[in-house]
Amino acid sequence: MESDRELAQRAKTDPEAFGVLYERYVAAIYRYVYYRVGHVEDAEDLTARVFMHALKHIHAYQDIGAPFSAWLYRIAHNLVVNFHRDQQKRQAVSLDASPERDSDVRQPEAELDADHLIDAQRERARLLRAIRRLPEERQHLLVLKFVEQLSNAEIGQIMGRSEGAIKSLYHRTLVQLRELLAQPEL
Amino acid sequence: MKRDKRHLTEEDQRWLEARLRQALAPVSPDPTLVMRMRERVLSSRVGRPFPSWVAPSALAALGLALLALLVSLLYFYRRSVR
Repeated sequence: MESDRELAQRAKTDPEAFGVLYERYVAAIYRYVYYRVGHVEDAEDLTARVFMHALKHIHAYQDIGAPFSAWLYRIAHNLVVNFHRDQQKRQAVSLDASPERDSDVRQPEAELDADHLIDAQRERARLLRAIRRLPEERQHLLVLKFVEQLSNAEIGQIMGRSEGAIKSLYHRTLVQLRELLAQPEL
Repeated sequence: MKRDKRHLTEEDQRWLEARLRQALAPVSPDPTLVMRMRERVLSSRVGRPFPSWVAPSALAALGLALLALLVSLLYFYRRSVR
């Protein structure tokens, strides 16, 4: 199998090589964007834009030892930040507006299970709201760690920081998250 | 004794991580969407305006031209002073 490095090099002149890279990373970038914007349509659009931007600038891509995915995540992060900046005037996209949360209609025959499910969904929505209140870079870190399940070293390569700095940022993020979750109005 | 807000016990960390793992479950894009986006992305390719060597060459040429201009000005200045 051709490595990312070889494909990225070939993609400078051959769009099909970029197509292979696209297939390799589209799901990961989509997941990342989805949890940063919290909306399927926006996630789809931004994911496409990440790859369009990457294709447009692939000639400037230089292998500096970091994985190709690090470059894609950086593009995705920048586009998400721009997206949120552009959306500031509009009401914030609500992560808890997922269809599951609207399912407040109880099934009488499974009332206990339904109660449990609704509680779990409310808890999840509350946690996602807390995550959305974190600074951008902390959200970035949590999505890379829990959605993409990357190590601190890999996250460091993507965020341009040392492994130690990521560990420290992660600790501060958890502390802030705990404080946010302690707020009753959340 | 007041609890240090920055302190996170192992138990706190495990509890938060368990909740995060639950909340941030992986999602997948629709396969038809993936194919549609692929078409959209690959058809968006725009031609590079110049090969990569053009920009540094143009900068070098500009630098040389400026240097030549400075040398010429210096030459004529010295000649007029004499």
